Amino acid sequence: MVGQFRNQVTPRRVAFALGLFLVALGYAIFMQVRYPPFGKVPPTATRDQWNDYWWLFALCLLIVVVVNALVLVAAKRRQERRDAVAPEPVTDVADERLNLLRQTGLDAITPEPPARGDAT
Amino acid sequence: MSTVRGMTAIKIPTALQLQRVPLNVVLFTVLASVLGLTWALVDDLPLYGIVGLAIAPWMPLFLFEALWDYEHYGFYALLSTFTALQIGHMGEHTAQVTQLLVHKGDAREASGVFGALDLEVVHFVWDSGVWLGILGCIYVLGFRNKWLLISLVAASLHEIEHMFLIYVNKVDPDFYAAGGLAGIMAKSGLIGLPFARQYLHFVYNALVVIPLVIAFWDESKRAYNVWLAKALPGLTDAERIAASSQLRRLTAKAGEAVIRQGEVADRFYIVSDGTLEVVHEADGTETILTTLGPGQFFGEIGLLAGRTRTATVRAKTDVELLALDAPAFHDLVTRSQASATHLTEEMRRRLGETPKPVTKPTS
Repeated sequence: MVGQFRNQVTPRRVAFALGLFLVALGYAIFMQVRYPPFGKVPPTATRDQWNDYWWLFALCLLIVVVVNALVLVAAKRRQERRDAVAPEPVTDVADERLNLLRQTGLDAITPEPPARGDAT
Repeated sequence: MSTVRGMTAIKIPTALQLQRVPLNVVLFTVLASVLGLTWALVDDLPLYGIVGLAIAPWMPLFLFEALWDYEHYGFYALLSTFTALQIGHMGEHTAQVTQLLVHKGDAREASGVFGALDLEVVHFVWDSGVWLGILGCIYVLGFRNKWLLISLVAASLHEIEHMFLIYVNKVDPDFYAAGGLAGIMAKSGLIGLPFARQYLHFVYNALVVIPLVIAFWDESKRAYNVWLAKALPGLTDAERIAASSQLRRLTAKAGEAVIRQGEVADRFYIVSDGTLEVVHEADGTETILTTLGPGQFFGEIGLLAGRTRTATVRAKTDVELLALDAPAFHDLVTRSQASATHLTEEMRRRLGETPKPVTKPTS
């Protein structure tokens, strides 16, 4: 069951995701070409003014990259800790488990009503 | 997925199906929503009024169901809510672009459905929440879901943009008003792609939402009921997932008998809410044998032994139960060595027998 989830990034799924994204992108391109927005204050900022903000771009980029890195490293460590304590998967599953259970677990059950305990 | 007459049909994962809300309540909600929508249109309310009245009746239903999901599926319920909110956010951006289409590019008429929220600080808080939320999902789920990583890359790019914008908006409002609102990537911005801000952010959101929804769909198929895991801790994840899809939610009022002594055993029950008492009846007198609460199970002996119920189990309070039909229970016991042993030992304990080790099969 879990095995089927291992291969999540299949060509079909990538094509599906890419197709949806291209639809959104195509819509945006169409809108930009056909209806470029107007009606709000037109931009008057000069290139020199913009050039004063490269440091801000670098800072924002740095913050996001550092936070991402810290969380991803923490996630990796958490995953390793969980893997370390996870029980071994039960692989020794016999097809006749129920018959075995009946043979070994129910031999001692008598048809009399139980003396105590939850008699379900 | 299953195939129906040569076509591939998508089966809705159990975790996504309505569990607590009955169908008649859903139909009533549809009716209330349609009435609200009609009223808003007749009264010529603004767009946010129309949409607000249409979705308001769904809020209690959504909350009620989300709480149940959280009680039964834990973190997955948070992921569901997060994904739903982000789809709503994408809807808002889509509405804005559609308004531009309708008004032929007039930005004064295109502030989305909830235009009052079209503020830089709202965009920043929301998109920071999306970015941190995806990081939180990866922290909890690990790296097993690759689509979340793709979504993270897109959300990170978007977050850089909004960090930049909120700083310019708050620290240099003159520059912001003179064109700084374009940000980094929008047309006339610091780097400046050919897209205007409205179209760029629509694309950003599409880039975040599409992989997020695929990641959510995958997690829906992995989600298992935590009460099943509590009752039968020896199950593997795969067994929990498979058995969860077979669980049926049942409720009983206080005083109602869930199973009766002497009846044919047909189900296995896990208690997820409330308490029940196990009563043995003999010679016209009742003896209370034990009390069961959340995380405990009953009904296994009748199914395993192929005998009728040997006691009555009655709700002491209003209870919620998760039931496995006999074939699903037998399938689970057959497949799970750990649970077979656990159930056998519990059955013996309840019947007053001394546990014996289960021997390995010789074949």
